Amino acid sequence: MKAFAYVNPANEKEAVAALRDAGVAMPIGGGQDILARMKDYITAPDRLVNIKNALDATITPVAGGLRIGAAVKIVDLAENAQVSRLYPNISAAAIEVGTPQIRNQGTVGGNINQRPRCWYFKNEEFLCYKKGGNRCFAPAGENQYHAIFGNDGPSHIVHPSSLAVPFLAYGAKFRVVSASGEREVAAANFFTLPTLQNVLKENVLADDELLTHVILPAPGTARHGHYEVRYKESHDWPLAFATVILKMSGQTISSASVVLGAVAPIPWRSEEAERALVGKTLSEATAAAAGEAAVRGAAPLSRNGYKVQVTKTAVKRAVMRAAGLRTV
Amino acid sequence: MPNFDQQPPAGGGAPTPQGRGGAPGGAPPAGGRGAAPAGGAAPQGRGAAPPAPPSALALKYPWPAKPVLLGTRVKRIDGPDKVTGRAKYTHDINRPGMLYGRIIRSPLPHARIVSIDLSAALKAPGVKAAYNVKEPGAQVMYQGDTVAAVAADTEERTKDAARLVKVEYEALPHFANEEQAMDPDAPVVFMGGNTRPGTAQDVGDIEAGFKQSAHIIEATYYTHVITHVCLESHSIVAEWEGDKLTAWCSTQGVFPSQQGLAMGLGIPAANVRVITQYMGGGFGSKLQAGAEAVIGAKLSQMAKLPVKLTLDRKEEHLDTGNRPSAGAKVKAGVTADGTLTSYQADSWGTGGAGQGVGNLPIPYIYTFPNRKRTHKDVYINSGTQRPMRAPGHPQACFLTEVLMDELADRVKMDPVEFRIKNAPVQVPSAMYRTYLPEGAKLFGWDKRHATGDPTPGPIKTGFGVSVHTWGGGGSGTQAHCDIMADGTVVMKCGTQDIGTGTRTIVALVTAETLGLPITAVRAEIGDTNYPRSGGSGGSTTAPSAMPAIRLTAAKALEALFVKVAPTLGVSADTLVATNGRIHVKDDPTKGVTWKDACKTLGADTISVDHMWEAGLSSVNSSGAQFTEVAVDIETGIVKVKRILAIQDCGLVVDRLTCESQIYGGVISSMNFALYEDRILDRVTGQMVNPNMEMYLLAGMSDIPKIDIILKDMPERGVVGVGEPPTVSLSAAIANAVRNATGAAIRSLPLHPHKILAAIEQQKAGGTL
Amino acid sequence: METEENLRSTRIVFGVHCLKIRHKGMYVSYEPDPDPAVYNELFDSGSYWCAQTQTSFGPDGQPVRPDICQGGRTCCAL
Ligand SMILES: Cc1cc2nc3c(=O)[nH]c(=O)nc-3n(C[C@H](O)[C@H](O)[C@H](O)COP(=O)(O)OP(=O)(O)OC[C@H]3O[C@@H](n4cnc5c(N)ncnc54)[C@H](O)[C@@H]3O)c2cc1C
Ligand code: SF4
Repeated sequence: MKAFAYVNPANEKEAVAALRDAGVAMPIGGGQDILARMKDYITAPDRLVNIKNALDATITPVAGGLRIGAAVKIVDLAENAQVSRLYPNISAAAIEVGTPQIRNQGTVGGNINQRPRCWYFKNEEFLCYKKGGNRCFAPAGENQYHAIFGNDGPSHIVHPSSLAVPFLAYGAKFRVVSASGEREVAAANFFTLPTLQNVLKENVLADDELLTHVILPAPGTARHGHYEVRYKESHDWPLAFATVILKMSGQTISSASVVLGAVAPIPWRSEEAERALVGKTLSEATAAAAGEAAVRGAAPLSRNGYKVQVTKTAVKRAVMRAAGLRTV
Repeated sequence: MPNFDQQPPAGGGAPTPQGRGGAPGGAPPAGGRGAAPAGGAAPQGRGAAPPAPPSALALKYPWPAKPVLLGTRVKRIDGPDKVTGRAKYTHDINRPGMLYGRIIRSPLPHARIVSIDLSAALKAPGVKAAYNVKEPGAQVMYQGDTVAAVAADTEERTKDAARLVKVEYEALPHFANEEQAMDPDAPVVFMGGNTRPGTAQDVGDIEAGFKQSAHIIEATYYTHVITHVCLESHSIVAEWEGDKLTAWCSTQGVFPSQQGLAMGLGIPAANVRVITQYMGGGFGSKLQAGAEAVIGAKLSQMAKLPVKLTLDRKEEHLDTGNRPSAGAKVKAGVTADGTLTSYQADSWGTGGAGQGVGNLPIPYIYTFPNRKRTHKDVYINSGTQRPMRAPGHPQACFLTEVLMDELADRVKMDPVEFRIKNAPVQVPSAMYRTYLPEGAKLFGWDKRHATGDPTPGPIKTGFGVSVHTWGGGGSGTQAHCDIMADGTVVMKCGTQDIGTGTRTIVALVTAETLGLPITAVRAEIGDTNYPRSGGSGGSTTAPSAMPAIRLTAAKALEALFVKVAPTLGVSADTLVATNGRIHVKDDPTKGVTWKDACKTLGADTISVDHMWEAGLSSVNSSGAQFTEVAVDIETGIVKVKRILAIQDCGLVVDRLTCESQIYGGVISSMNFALYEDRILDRVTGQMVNPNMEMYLLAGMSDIPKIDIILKDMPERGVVGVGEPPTVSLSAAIANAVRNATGAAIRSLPLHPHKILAAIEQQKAGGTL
Repeated sequence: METEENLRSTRIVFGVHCLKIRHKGMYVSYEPDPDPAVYNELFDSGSYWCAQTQTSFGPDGQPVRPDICQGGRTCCAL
């Protein structure tokens, strides 16, 4: 990798200041993503700013919800009792990320802000849009793990973050700071579909900004279901997954939040699936209908048509889990 | 010495001192193997001299009838060194002033090198040497092909400097897969053509066979390319002293690497010493020194300093070999009573740039009396193949065994019964007729349902079986044994331990022969300064080395008997060594301890050489593997639930290391079926998954319980077990998936998309 | 008959093939089986390399294979 300087700020203020110093500076959390990219010459910062000592690493109750520091390790998120009581889908997503080693090192902030897992992006040979080139290799190439939604291009990645999906489903807000101040961005507005203008990034964060907290509103009474389709048991990425949160009035679903992962350049909210659920009772048939609805608008590429079936299954099983039904 | 035939190809072969029928137990050869004549007829041994008769020593020291250590579970003697890090693998070797080398490789799959500019690299900090491996004007034939090399004082500086080498390429047409290369409109990329036909084969009367057939299947089967993925990547530490080179290499053969380095560098072989104390996997990709080793040595020669050159994972995937693909368009027939009739196949496959598939023994094992084949080697712009664990067999096994299940279904026969019916003649090296029913019983095969799991719900389970064969066998190894006056025993042999446990079994056989505990002997291997042995490939290491060790130890022991006998007042030929003592055979009280016996040597050392002889090893083994899988038909995901492997390998030397080979083989076969896949971008010809993140390998939690039934055949001597267990599980898994889902699975790997597509096709009208 | 039986021969013949061609069978300790069918099956892994270059391409940049590593090729040594 290219030689770089390492800054170890003690607080938020120093950290955002360090991001503004001369040269290209980038934050590093657990380093599970950025170090691999640096070794492969995909990313070449002049300076790494360690956020693990600078940012909050605690999970604190606020207003019936939780405030999760960006420096919280994925393992700690997965094992936190309050998280699993209030937001079981977050625990479910966290425990499946990568491997135990990745979860022990990886941070919440790093997970949300990790760069695409697309193999064209991750290999130096392919100068694609995301690396400043002028083409996406996926449509004509090996796209079995690429997007089936949001495929208008120019890039056809799937968003890599597992945590982003339930965060979005639970209506999280992200607290973002820079040397000029701070703002809160709803998770739903944080991730960006690619355009020729923004394709070098996957979200609205500016280069000098840090994500410091995930703020989760009180979940209310709800049923939760999360289902990931993974080929291997560990050290692998999901083929597709779904997170489902259902509010009930009596036996009837009064509102639904369905967000899909690994299917689009952003965590993909499926309003079609949500509509298919609202007003229905909990049953396998309802779940299957939601699955069908979820994929109705899918636009797969040449080699990932199978992901439509996989996604349909993920949605169906997530709903069944929420309903307390046996999935397989 | 490489074994050149001394006669033109049409003539008979060289005489065989070993003789396939000359092994202990007189095992006749396995019949019906691959391209052997129909009906599994025994080869006639045309022009073969009878096997050399065993020497008096070999007759006196057959494998013991009541062994103490042989066949027991002996832990690896270097296990503690490995887990504590005391064991030094090549990459752990550090020499004073050592530099780090790196190869600059082509990013393009086919190009002409226009220019190479080393000047910036040579000026970079710490750089001590750089040179062009290829000169401008030359072509690179695949991504990862070598272009230039550089050495600097730290690994980081070397990598930085390598990136400063400026290479200008003129891109040329390339092929990323067989279809592109076989396209009649494709440009000629390879001299002499992009494909090359094999000699056609025509045995029996194929059409008559089809006429007798009640059912005929016509389908295409295919296995993909995978790479060796040795955990220890290819590595060399090279150090020159004047014109003499010492090379620590991660190699499967110290002697082959010695020759490779000598010829690659153009220096006398006598000036090269190769050392391999510990090795972390080769699977066939380390039987040659390889360009990487020559480049490391050359950089060292130029810089006049030691150089370490270790490849990274990407280089491993791109340029240290792979298992060739193999496809076959097959037409096969079966009579109403389940007898195989005719087999017709047009096969093809690629071993990368300019290399073919090699032998593809289809139809595998089973007896089709009428066979007709054509074959086409296809050349694409990818790294070239290197032998990979049982070359040709995993592919041939899949191509045949999947068809076998389909044929069995046509005649409504159980796959086990169908296999037994069509298996070759039973001989000790081909025991399918025994292993299949035995395995079926142990596995609970009676619980297998007919094709298509009838239980409701998305999870379907299925059973699958497949059988395999392999050669093994050995010759030629030499060894040296010293027994010192203080009782110390050293056995030296220029074989190498490629992770299989060779060091342990060298010590084990020495100890067994001398009647000592394994801790009392030292095994020294992995060095060209020791007596000659072959490369560790072809499952030949144990059958080549163990007879040599046994006889060398025996010869040393006989010499000790001669010294001890007078002190006991007996003749030397009455003595035996057991339990740490040397004593009269029928009177254990009349004897001395090993230590006291050695004291009679005084200032002397017993120092003897001996070599492999016929009679203690033989060739060919067989096995069967059973598996149960669960398929999620709504996601296409296959999970292997359990595996049973039945394997023979003649005499079991160390039960633990033997089982270890079977575990490893079975797991790689599962990886071949489900996970591994070298994926080249079809447009650019560049590999998209040259890592261990997107190149999938089973993790611990993906691997189910593996039961092993090891068939002892001590009377056959040592056969070798490195390759056979990796052949058949992939086919068994595919058969189990078909049994579970009812959908035809005819190509690997069994990724979810393929399973889902097969299920769709099945629903849409059926593939049976 | 044997030669027809086999689609390929790994038998590298002294005086016919280049002295520098290599394959797996040359480096493992195994007596050549008198039956070429058996021998070829065991060792024809189809992977050939040149002892001089230690790659599957000769010094002339062309592939190493028994069918072309023969007299007439500029780099061939008989
Ligand atoms: C085999 C494998 C499987 C994997 N499977 C999964 C999976 O299933 N699901 C999943 O989600 N991930 C998966 N990953 C990725 C891994 O989870 C992420 O890499 C990890 O969570 C990143 O966290 P980190 O703290 O190590 O990030 P880092 O590498 O430290 O940072 C990632 C990126 O975020 C930026 N960044 C870090 N912190 C902040 C911050 N506070 N504010 C703004 N930007 C920041 C960094 O600059 C960098 O660009 C897998 C990785 C591998 C290798
Ligand atoms: S490439 Fe040339 S030198 Fe090398 S083996 Fe073939 S003919 Fe001989």
